[in-house]
Amino acid sequence: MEESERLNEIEKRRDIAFNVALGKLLETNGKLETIMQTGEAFGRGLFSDYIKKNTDNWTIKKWFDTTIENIFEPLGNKFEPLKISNNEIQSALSTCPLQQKTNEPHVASLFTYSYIRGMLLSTFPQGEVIMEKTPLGDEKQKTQFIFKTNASAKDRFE
Amino acid sequence: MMDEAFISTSIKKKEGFISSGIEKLDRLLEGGLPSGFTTVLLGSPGSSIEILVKQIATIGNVTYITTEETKDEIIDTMERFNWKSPDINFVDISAKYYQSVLQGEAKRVSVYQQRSKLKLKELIEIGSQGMPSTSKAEEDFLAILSNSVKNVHQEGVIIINSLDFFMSQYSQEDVLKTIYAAKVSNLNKKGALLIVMTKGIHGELFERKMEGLADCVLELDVVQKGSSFERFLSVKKMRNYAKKIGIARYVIDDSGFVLEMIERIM
Repeated sequence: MEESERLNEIEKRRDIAFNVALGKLLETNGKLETIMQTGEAFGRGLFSDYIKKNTDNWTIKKWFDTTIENIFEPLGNKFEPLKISNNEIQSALSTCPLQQKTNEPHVASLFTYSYIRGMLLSTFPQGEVIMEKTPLGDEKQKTQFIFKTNASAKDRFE
Repeated sequence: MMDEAFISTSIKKKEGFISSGIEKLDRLLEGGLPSGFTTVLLGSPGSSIEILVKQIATIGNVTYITTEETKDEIIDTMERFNWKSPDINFVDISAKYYQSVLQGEAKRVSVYQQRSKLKLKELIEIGSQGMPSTSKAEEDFLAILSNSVKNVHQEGVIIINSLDFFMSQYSQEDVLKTIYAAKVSNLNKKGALLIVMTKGIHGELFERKMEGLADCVLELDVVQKGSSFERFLSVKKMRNYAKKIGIARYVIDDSGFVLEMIERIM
């Protein structure tokens, strides 16, 4: 498959899944949990189809780099790594095209969080993705994503 | 007017088949679902697939594994359509899951307030930006699914509504293994296993794997025609019964799922 075709395929797949999530949200009279579930299922599917074959010996760095190359870049999401350790990566999301192209930016945000979480948990079942709104220096406020391979109970409830 | 539940139970059972409880659907399938078959019901949002499965559940001897609606919500809908719900064993994963989410949410609010001293209003504001995380549920929902399938009676009907939930919690491999075990168990018990999943979330590859695993694939679609919408049910696959492949238009009225025109493709 041509590279451009593959990129297009992931984007198309993301848009279909997002529209399905919106449809399910309407059907359930606004249960946000359905967005989480749809997004996580979509993320696990992406992991299975595009990432899993790359390696079995995962580290968080390898996961992050592989996911950026295979998923985030094709989807136009730009992550800037801020801090990397053995079991944690802190990064800032500076561009999220799905949020910009939809009339439902809040739902798009939740959906984006969910599919990223689905991909991380596929690799690190004990992990967690934490999101924080963080002002980064003088720049515009960005969303900070912290990817953890082993999450504490506090991480899960925050 | 004839009672819908009466219609369901009055449909004559054809040897070797399990009735869907919907006469025209049985006609489309030329007798119903063959005993031992695993059927995948693929649906788009708006196709009202959840109404179809509830109506099928009224045939009795049914184990209904629900992940999206609670048992009470399902019974409320059945009562709204005047369907009787005899002999349904509900496995309410939805209630268990939402309970664990609510507990997680309560802890999350408390920890957040404690650590960041944020007021609840600000917390809700952050939540409305769509950034919450959920607690990892402690229950093993795949094990619940697996055990529920094992406990089904001979010739029993199992409805899993829906696979999407399990796909959001477990790897594709784990889900497929469990579904394959359920398929074998259903085959041995000569029952009917119906698995509901939403089209378009899991990727074409997984959908193809599920279609390969299934003996029968029914797809429900909504098509916009001008300012109105039309719904179609297609029989995409029927193992060993090629001539049953067909398509039918349907509507949802006060009595439930009504098939209108049937068109046979093969």
